[in-house]
Formats: sequence, structure tokens, C-alpha cells
Amino acid sequence: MRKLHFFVIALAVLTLAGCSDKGSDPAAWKVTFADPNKEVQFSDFEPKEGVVRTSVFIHGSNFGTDESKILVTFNGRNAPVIASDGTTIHCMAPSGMAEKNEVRVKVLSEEGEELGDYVFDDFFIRGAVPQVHTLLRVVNEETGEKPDSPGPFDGGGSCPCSEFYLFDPVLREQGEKVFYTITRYKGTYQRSLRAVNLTKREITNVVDFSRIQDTFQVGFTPGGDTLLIAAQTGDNLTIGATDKADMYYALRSENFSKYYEYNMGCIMYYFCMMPDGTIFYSTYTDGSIIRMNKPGTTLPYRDSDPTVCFNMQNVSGLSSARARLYPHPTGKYVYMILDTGYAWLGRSGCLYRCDYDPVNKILKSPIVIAGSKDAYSTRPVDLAEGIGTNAKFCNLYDACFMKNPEYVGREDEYDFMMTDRFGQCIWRVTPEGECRVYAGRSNNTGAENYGDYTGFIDGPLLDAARMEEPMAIAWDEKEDVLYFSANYAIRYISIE
Amino acid sequence: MKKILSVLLVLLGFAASAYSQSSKGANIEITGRVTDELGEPLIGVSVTIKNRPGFGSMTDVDGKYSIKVAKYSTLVFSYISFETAEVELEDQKVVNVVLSESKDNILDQAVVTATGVQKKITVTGAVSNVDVGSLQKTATSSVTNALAGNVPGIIARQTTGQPGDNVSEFWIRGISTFGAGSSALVLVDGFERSLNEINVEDIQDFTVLKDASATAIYGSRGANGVVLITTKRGAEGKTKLNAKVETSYNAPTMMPKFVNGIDYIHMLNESRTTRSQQAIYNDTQVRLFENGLDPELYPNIDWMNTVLKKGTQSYRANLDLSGGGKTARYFISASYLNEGGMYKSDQAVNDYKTNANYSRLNYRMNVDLNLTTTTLLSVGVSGSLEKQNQPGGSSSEIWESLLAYNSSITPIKFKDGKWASTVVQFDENNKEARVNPWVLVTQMGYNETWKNKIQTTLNFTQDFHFVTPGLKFLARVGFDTNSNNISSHFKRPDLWGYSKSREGDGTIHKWMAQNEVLMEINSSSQGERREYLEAEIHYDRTFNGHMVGAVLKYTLDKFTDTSENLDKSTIQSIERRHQGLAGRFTYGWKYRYFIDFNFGYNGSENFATGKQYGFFPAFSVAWNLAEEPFIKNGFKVMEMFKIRYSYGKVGNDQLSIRYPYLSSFKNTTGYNFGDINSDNKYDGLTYNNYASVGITWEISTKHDVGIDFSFANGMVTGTVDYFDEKRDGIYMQRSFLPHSVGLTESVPYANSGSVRSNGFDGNVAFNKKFGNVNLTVRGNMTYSKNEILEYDEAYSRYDYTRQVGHRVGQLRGLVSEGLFKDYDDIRNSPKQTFGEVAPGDIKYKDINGDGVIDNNDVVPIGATVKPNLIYGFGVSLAWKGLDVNLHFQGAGKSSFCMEGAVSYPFLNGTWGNVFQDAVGNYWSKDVNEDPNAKYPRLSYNGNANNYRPSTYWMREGSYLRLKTVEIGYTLPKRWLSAMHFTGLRIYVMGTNLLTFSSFKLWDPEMGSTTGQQYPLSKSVTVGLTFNL
Repeated sequence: MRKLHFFVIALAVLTLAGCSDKGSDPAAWKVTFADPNKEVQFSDFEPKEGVVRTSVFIHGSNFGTDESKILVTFNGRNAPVIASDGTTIHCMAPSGMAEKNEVRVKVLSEEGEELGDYVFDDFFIRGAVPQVHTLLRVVNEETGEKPDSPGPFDGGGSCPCSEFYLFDPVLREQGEKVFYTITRYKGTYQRSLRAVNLTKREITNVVDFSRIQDTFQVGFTPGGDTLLIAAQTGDNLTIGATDKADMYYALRSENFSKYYEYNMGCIMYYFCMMPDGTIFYSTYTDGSIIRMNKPGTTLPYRDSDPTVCFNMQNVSGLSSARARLYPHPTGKYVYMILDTGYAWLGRSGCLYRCDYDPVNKILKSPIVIAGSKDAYSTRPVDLAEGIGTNAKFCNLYDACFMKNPEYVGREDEYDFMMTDRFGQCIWRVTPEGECRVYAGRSNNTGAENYGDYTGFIDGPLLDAARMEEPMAIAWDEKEDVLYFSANYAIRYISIE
Repeated sequence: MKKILSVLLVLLGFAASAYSQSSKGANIEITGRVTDELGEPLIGVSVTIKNRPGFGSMTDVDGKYSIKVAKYSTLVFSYISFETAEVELEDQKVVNVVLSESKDNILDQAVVTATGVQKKITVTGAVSNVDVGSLQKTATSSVTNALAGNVPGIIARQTTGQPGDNVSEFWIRGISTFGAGSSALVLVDGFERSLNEINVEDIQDFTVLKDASATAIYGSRGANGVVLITTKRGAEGKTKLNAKVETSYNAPTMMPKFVNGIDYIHMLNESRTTRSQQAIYNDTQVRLFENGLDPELYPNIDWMNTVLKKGTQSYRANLDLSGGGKTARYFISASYLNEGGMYKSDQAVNDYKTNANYSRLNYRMNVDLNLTTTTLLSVGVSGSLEKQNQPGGSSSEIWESLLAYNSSITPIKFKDGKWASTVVQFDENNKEARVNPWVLVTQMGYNETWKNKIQTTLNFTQDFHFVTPGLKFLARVGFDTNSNNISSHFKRPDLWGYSKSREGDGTIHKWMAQNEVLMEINSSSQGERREYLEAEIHYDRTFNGHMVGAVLKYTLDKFTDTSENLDKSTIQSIERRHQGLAGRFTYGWKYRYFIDFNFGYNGSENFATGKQYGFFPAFSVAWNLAEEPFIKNGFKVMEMFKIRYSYGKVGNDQLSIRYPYLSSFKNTTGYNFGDINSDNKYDGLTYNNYASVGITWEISTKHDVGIDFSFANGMVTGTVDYFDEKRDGIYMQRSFLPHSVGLTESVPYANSGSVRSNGFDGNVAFNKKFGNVNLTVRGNMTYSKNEILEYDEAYSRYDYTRQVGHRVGQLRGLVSEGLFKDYDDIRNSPKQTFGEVAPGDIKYKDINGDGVIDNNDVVPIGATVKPNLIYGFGVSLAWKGLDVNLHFQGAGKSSFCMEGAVSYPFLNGTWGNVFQDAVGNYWSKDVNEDPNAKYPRLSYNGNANNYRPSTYWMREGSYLRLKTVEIGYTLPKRWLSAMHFTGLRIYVMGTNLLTFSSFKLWDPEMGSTTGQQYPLSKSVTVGLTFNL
């Protein structure tokens, strides 16, 4: 039996020869701190020029590798410090920096004691490139919750889903930047008019459209005192029926807090008011574009014999096609985007234009100026830039005109900016019909979660920016800022 | 269970009492000296008294012994590799003995066959008898890993190295069917049992039955060949103890090597720019990858080093005891092994282990009892307890992720503590989340599998020599239960996706890609029960040189699946049963001529009445030239030269479904009443399986010609066989019935396929003693090739697109003619229809000459993934106590096409990785425009023209490896006897240390087309065996 002990011992020795599974934790971020016994040295930074969010590298030594112990400011504004390897600091040019920035770096010890403080002789010069920015986004990434509530920007206010933006021209003249939006949280029939006040940085509720089944659009009359509200009432499909209101109005004097019947007519989708006051609107019935004849002198009008300009169902060959109308600021013509009613099935991938006859006050037959009317099921991957009908859009949603300083003196000084909801981009159509992606769909593929073209990335328009389902779009002429909704956020494009 | 235990206790008691009776009545002391023929003293010779086991003595350093015995006893002197001597005592007090070295007589070599132990010389069928010692030379838990290159007639490969799953699949003489069931029948002590968890030290004999005459007696299940294993039993004599301990250090044989992060980024950008697309990363981002100054957004992580250890440790220990007396003998063994996995663990996780691990405890007890002088009862109880641990992420997920997760895709964890993950867009509608390898291995809980097997065998042998000499009756009962418990302890932390850009305040925009799952425990269990009954009558007698033998055998077996029945499937609980009657008649004359006739008459409940029974006859003849007088007198050097031929039929009833002769029904919702376009759908019943009443046995007709030879006193020995078999009536679904039959999904089965396979196998050995040096050189080879003769398939204008006429599992693809040189080359070549092509893309051969490259140009290329040729050769040297053993193993006639997100660069965009092999070896504009470059022009997000099976991606799966190298030293007897050991050997063994292969990206033996597999290991083992 003694020999058995030998066996047991041999087994034990061999077993102990093994090792444990433990090692250092590769998932932990390890940092070292600046050595307080050595001097922190600064030699240079580069580049010397760039836009907001440009990566700036500061060279020197003894920085430590804990970025929380390094403070960089550009003219007093904190620049986010991304990382340091001890000899190079990587930080980002901060938003809100001046045109010429003093670059100052402080390095702290592990205990927070200041070991180095240095101001570079060279300045960082701000570059001028338009970029996509995000103004307001309140999304809980953990729960996916997206609150839809009025309030100050910094106090919970948010309007996560907007299909429509409209600047208030009167307040804008007064120096206050306000746009209106209709809350529409992905298909829920609960509409309110909200005012997004960019000056006061708050969102207020203007009025709840409890008497209106659904609405997509509001618009100001020339002068801006009256707000017209397009109304859908579901069943008044007959052109010429006058038993239900298809348009309401609200008055500035009442702060738009009440609304009244404006016109009795067939179900209205979208309207436009020409500079001379003529109103055209699109209907659900058969996609007809109708001129509101405003008979009589008392409100509401009873438009029992409206003038049908043309029928978009016939033009496009699509059933339940109805148009969104965008009058050119000069009033010479109206651009139209077609909605087939089923957002997820796609919209007509084409842009129409019809000339306005100011004498007969009638819209002439539409012509296709960009995209193809057959391509209404273009997939995001098949989207194509091009001139006129060579371009392929995916899912045009909303649009606005934007003045292009390069066109000064030309007959038409405006580009037409369109959101492409499932194409995940913003298009620019020149007066000549050249269609180019203006922003979005960058190659930045860190955002695989969104698929190949979407994402949520700010930055240079084509090089970095990505967006998910851009919808509402509006241009603020005064500051040359293009606002749009995407990623449940209010985002904008500007040169900082 | 209780019953089994009590039976065991009774048997143990019986053995023990037999043991203790023996030490009574010793009254005289005998002394003496034991020497060899040269007069040298023999140390450690066992001196026992006949019929008094457990009581004995041993010779000392001078060969002297003393023992107290009763008068008129018989002393037995036994010593390894010497003839045992018996001396009957009368009055003498001093007994000096000279032992002579035992000689291996070719006529006496025995082989275990289907009907018991048989002299090798009388065997007429194709049988490989395996040296069990060579099977023990594996550093893994399974004996199957030692089969390839050691056992002639076996084609084997190991496809994974994961502890607990690291077993080899094997086929006897290759694959001869495309139907269900191509694996061999494995019988341990006569009953169907798994080869994987058997303790290799318990194996006494390992035999492979290959041809029809050897297997016909198993009629029903012999079509794929039979492996016979008998376990060790106790022998009369002093108690012997054998023990073995060893430990191995294991490291992967070959690991895929990937480009470093910086090269990857540059190649990624090139994959876009070379196709006129915008680069993924701009200069600043590339710079951040290079300087590492944004390690969250632009990481550079070596995932292999992060997740995997350099090597792992495994341990094995074995202990067995045997002995007994005339009335009872026993063999008891226990063994333990533990194999570690190669995953690292999270230090913070202390409550459980996430690393892969496998441990097993085996035990066995074989007891033989002579109830009377003619009655033998043998009882065997054996079992194994296995525990396998795995990380929460499955092995396939881990290896897919580990290989496809490139260095720049995500960090392990963000600085705010959130775990990073990615989502892969495989195509427009197919998006899938992928978890990073570290999380898969360490953060997702663990899975535990617990297997428990108990095998019981009862053998009863009654010798009826008192009725007539040579008559014997045998009955055998077996009862096995297996149960597996799988307990998954799954958890997952919340995983975050992120935008590869920072927001204005420097933060990273992240979103929840997958929600947290708190640990949830799911248990399931599987079980099975097998019962066997066999009864045999043997008759064996030699009259005047006429050797006559006969065996008649009845078998009955039942198999029940007792697994947790979640589908409430009634059919599962129905036993699978077979019964059969088999027989063998042998005749031999003077070891010269032999004739065998075998038959099996077997029934299977899987077939309709009338189709259940199959008759499987086989005959074989052999002629041993060496025993002919003209050879015996004139050519003495030839001891055996036997020519064999066998012919026979064997069957197979393994089908992918049960009861194909019965129809079954299922619910359907699609019956439409009314006109087209009207929607009047009603529920109803439809066929789930349409009955095939005529279905019956698959029959394999086998021919085998072979020779066995032995020359010059066993200096040269060998066996060579040529075989040719044809399998008819292979089950397959009639997928090409005309639609007018009215069956669309549930088409019936039929015995309609046919495959022919042929090849050869054999082994030769050279054995000679040069002075003190004993040299053995040996080699073996198995080659098998098959061809489909009949296959239910659609008509094709091009013969090469059909299965018929080609191998089972034939690799197919386009034939590459290199890469397009320039646009002129493209214009002047047949049009390729898979997508746009540019210079640097793969150019294919227009096989049918129609000017278009399409799927009609896909032809059989290369061989099959599973090798068709396996060979092994080795040399052993022994000098005094030192022994050296070298064994090489190789495989050939194997090819495969590389594929997947690792082989095809940038197949799924940024998901996937690029081999180091591709650097400098891919077609690159203005840099490397070689039309024969190893990789084509890069393309981002796949390339339908390049990324498809073709000779361009085809690689040779053949390899040659130094399977074993072993150096052992047995301590001299002189030292051992001082320590009271009879033997002690220490050894160092290396397995798979060298691999030679033209394919170097991963281990070709795995047969993987993507490399995404737990790698095989090479190991160095240190061990110790000793005997008492």
C-alpha cells in the first residue's frame, strides 16, 4: 500500500505543475499619470487651423495618459481631450470657439495638483466649412425612450418626431428665432402645434388640434398675421362637398391659441399660398390639385365649385398620389413631391414642377424635373446622383428653398433642398436640375447598427455626417442655417 | 441502480473470499535461483503456487527466492517475455529454474473476431489487428484520435480541439454512401458502445473488421465495418498493479495569422478606392489608428492574444489492479483525466469558471468466476462520469467572432464601462448583432454538460466438452444506460453600438445594441437505454488436420431514447429493435486451406412487414502457401503467405426517419376554395411524410482480395487488401417526382441510390534485433475512392453538373484562369455573368464554350473535403532500457475551397478579417498587377464574381505530420527490485509537433472551409508508468 502513496504523490506533483487561468484584465483601461518630479514640456500643436471638432495634437512630454488630468482650452472654451500617450495629447477643437484661438494646456498630477500650464504662441484659426450639428436630442439609449414634451432645451423639452418645420417670419423680423412644428410621433394621431424658440431655447405648446382628425401642414398668409391649417376630415372625399371644413385659421392676436373654420371643402392634404394670395391645395380624393375659389365674403368659405388644375393620379399613374406643394419664393412656379400615402411603401421618387399663370391664377400641367416617376421603390443602395431624370431618389419627404450666394444675379437664386427619408440624406437640386447629395450617407461605417447608410454622426456634410430618417426641413435665411429633423432630434447645417 | 450495486458487492465478496482461502497450510520452505538460458540471474520473477493466487514470492537481485509451500504443490515461475515454467514439488527443498525466452510464433498469434478469439493464421477475412500500445500514444481524451495513420483501413480526421468534443470522426475504408449512417459499428465487449469515452488503458484488443466475411455475422449493421474492442480481464496469479500519471502542455498546431491593425485600415481603404468608391477612413482617422490616440474609436486590438492563452495543461492518471485464482479473477481500473481550455478568464468572475474544460472519471470492473470446471461466468461493470464546461457563448459563435472581429472594429469596453459590440449588415434585409470575443468568452455565463454512463455485461460460458469435445454454449446479456444533463447558465451584459465619430463635446454616441440578460439557468437532459441479449453455440474441433468449426448466434437488441421529451413525440418512446440469427461455418486443412461461410439473417422494425428481414451471406477462402510442403522444405524463410478472397453482402437500416413505411400528417392552413385571387383559406391536414411501403435494407456487396505474410522469423510481416464494394438501395428522397403526383414537400423515400467504392489498405513492418538494439520500421496506408452510380436528380444537359459519375461530397466550382490583366483581356474573354469585372478580378474558364460564364460552367474540381487517403509510418528503437518511437501520419486526396468573411477580404464590409498571407499577395493597381496573385483585387462588401467557389480558392487539404515522438526510459530491474517495483518507466512524448502542408492558414485536418473552429493542439507530455 505504501507504493500507492508514491502514485498519489506523483499525481499531485504533476497536477500542481499546472497553472491558473488568471491573468491581467484586458478589458480594463490602464492609465499612467504625469511624473510630479519631472517637468511637463510643451513643444507644439498641429494643425493650426480647422473647423469645430477637428482633431488637434499637442506635442511635448510627461503628460501622463489619463485624459481627465489634462485640460485644454481654445480661447477659454474647454476642448474635449480624447487621449494622451504621454507625449502627444489628442483633443478636439471645441464648438463656440473664436475665429482666432489661444491654445492653453494644463496637466495635473494624479492628486489633481497642477504640474504644467502653458499657452502656445501660435493661434488656432477657425476654418469655414459647413457641418451638420445637433441642436436637441433627448433619447434614452438604454431604454429607447424618446419623450415628446414642451419645456426648455436644458430642462426636458424635446420634439423627437417632426415632419414639418415653419419659421415665424414676423418674430424673425423682430429678432426672435422661432419655428413651428406639428408633433407627429410615428403615426400616432395626436397633433399639437409646437413652437421651437431657438432664441429662448425652449419648446412651447401653441395649440392642440383636438377638433381636426389629422394635419400635416400649417402656413402663414402674406404678412404673417394669420396661420392657415390644412385639415383632414376623413370622409368628405367628393370634390365640391362643403359639409366639412378642410382648412382652419388661427390669429396671431390670439397667439394662435384658438382656431376657426376657414374653408368648407373636400379633404385637404397640403396647400400653398402664392404671393398674390391664391391658394392651391392637394386632396386625397384622386390627387387633384385644386384652386380654392373662396366664394362669398364671410368665413368659412363654402367652396362648392373649386377649380381643378390637374390630377396627379393621372400624371403619375399612382393611386392615392397626392402632392406636397412648395411655391418658389418668386411665385413663378410650384415644386411638387408626391406622397402615395404609405410612407413605408415609398413615395414617388420624382420631383415635379408646374408653372404658375398669375393672370388666370392657375397652375399649369406639371413636368418631371428630377428623378423618375417609375422609381418610387428605389432602395437606399440604388440611390444615384445625376442631372434631371438621371437622378434616383429613394423617398423624398419634405423640402424648402435655400438661397445660394453663388447664384447672385441669376434668374433663379435658389437651390431646392429635399429630405430623403429612407435615402438617409438631404438632396440639393440646382435650378438647372442637377441633383447632388448635400449631406449624409458618409462612409463612416461605425454605425452598422443603422444599416449601410444611416447613423447619427455630426460633422462635415459628406465626409462624416450620417442621419436616420430625415424629414422636416426649413431654412433660416437670416443666419443661413438649414434646420432639419432626423434621429428624433433637431439638427442643423451651418458654418459655425 | 441499487440492484446493480448489490450484485457488484456480492461479486466482490466472492472474489475476495476466493483470494483469502489460499494462504493455509504452508509447511516447507523452498529456495532456489532463477536464471535465463545464459545463466544470468533474473530479477523480479514471480514465483507463485498454482491454484493459490495472491500468495507468492519474487526473485531478488541475484535471482534467488524462497517460498513456504505445502508438499506436492506446483510452483509457477513467470516473467515478462519469458516462457512460464511450472515445477511440481516432491521432496526437494532447492529448485533452480532456467527460463527460456518466449518466442513469438506466427502460428500462435491470436486475433479477436466476430465469433471470438481466433488464430491469426486461420483468419480468412480482412481484419486489422491493432497494437494497443500505439493507440495509447495520444495526448487527448479519446482513442479515436490515435486511429488515423495507426490502423490500416480507417480514414479519420479530427475537426475540433475543444476539450470534450476533441474526438475524431472515422470511417472504415472511407465513405461508401451519401445516405444516412456511414459510421462504423463499434462493439465493446460484444455490445454497441461509444469509442469516445473508453479508457484506453483498459483496452486489451482492438480489431477492425473490414470485409463482408468478417462482418456478415453482424448482418444488419455491418455495412460500414465493425470495430471490436475487448477490455482487460484478470489473470490467475499474484495481484498486479499498473499505474500511470502524465501531464501535457498543449498549444494550437496552427493559428490563423491576421494583418495588424494599420495594414488592415490601409487595405480597407484600398478596397473602396480601387473600386472608385470613397475611402472609409480619411487621413485624420488613419492617423488616429496609427498613433493610437483615440483607442476607443480607433482601436488596434489583437483579439487572439486578448482572449486566448498560449497553452493549456491536461492531466491523466490511471490505476488498475488485477489478479485472482483458479475460481475467480478480477480486473479493476479507475482513471481520471482533465483537459483545460485555452480561453482566458475575467478576474472579477469568481463564482464560476468560464473556460472550456473537460474532465472524466472512468471505472471498470471485470470479474470472471468459474462456477464449475466447465462453467464460466464473467461480469463486467464499467462506467464514466464526464463533465464539460464551456463559456456562455457557443464554440461556433466564439470562433466566428474571434476570427472575424478585426483589430479595428470596436474596443473591448468603452472608458465609461459599457461593453462594445457591433452589428453586421450581411445584406439589405439581414442585420445581425455580433458580440465581441472577450464578452463571449468571459461575460456570458457558462454551460455545463454532465454525462453519466453505466455499462453492464454478463457473460455465461458453458463448455460441453463432456457431450462432445469442442462444443460450447455462450450467453451474453448487456444493459447500458447513458444520461446527459446540460445546464446552461446564460447571461449577457448590455452591449453597445456606437458611431465612429465624436460629438461636439467629445463624447461618443452609443446605443444599446443588445439588452442585458440576467443569468438564467436552463437545464435539459438526454438519455438512452440499451439492452442486449446474445446466445451462441460454438463447435470447434480438429480431426487429423481437418479443422472444423461452426457458430450459431441469436441476437436481440433494444434501444430507447429516454431524453426529455419536449415535443411530446410519441415515436421517440418506441424502442428501436433488431433481432437476428447469424452463423459461421469454417473448414481448414493443415493450416493450408481455409473456407468460411458466414450468414446473418436480420430483422429491423424500421421496415414494413414482409420487408423486415434481410439475408446477408458471405464466404471467404484462403490458401496459406507457407504450409505447402514445397515451401516448408525449400523456402523456410517464409512462415506465412496467405492469399485470401472474400465475397458477401451486408446491410444497413439506418435512415434519417423512422417508419418510412407509415404516412404521417400535419396541420396546414393553405387550402383555398374558390377562384384564383379569392381568399377563402381553410385549415386542414396534409402529408408530413408520405409512406414508402416498399422500403427495405440498403445492401452492400463487398469483394476483398488480400494477402497476409510473414518472413524470416517475423522480420518482415504485413497485410495488403484490395477491396471493391457496391452499395445499392441507398435511401434517398424522391425529390424529382413529377408534380402531377401531387406531392410537393413530403416526398417519399426510396431505395434508389447506388455508390461504388474501391481502394486498398495494408500495412508492413520490419522488425530486427541488431545486437542490443531492437528496431521496428512500420507503415500503413488506406486509400478509398467512390463514385455515385445512381442518384435521384434532375436531368442536365451537362454531365459534369450531375452527381452521378462523381464522388460523394465532390467539391465543385468554376475553373479559374488567373486574374484579368487589363480591360482588353476582359473584352476578349467570355462574358462573366456574376457581376461587373475589372482588371484584377478572377477570370473563369468557359467550360461549355457558350461564350458566357455562368453556373453551367461549374464543374467538379479537386477531390472531397474528407480525405480519401490516410497513411502512417514510423520507427521504433529499443536499446536496453531506452526506447524511442517516431510516428508520422498523413492524409491526402483532400481539397476544399476557402470561403467566408476571413478568407474573402472585406466580404461583409468591416466585419471580417484579412490574413497576413494576403499582404503583398493581392492584386493591387500599379503595385502588384500579377495576374497570378494569390488574392484578387480587393472589394468592399463582397464581390459576386470573385467570392464564389472556384479553383482560385481551392486549397490542398493534404498534410503530413509528426504525430508522435516518444522517448522512454525503463529503469533497470536491479534498482526497481530494491524499491519493490516490477517496472517503472518515465517518458516524454510530443504529439503533432510538426505539420507539413502546403496550406498554412489553419490546420488542414479540421476540414474547415472558414478556419472558424477551435484549433487542434500539439502537445508535450511527461509521464510515468509503474507496475507492482
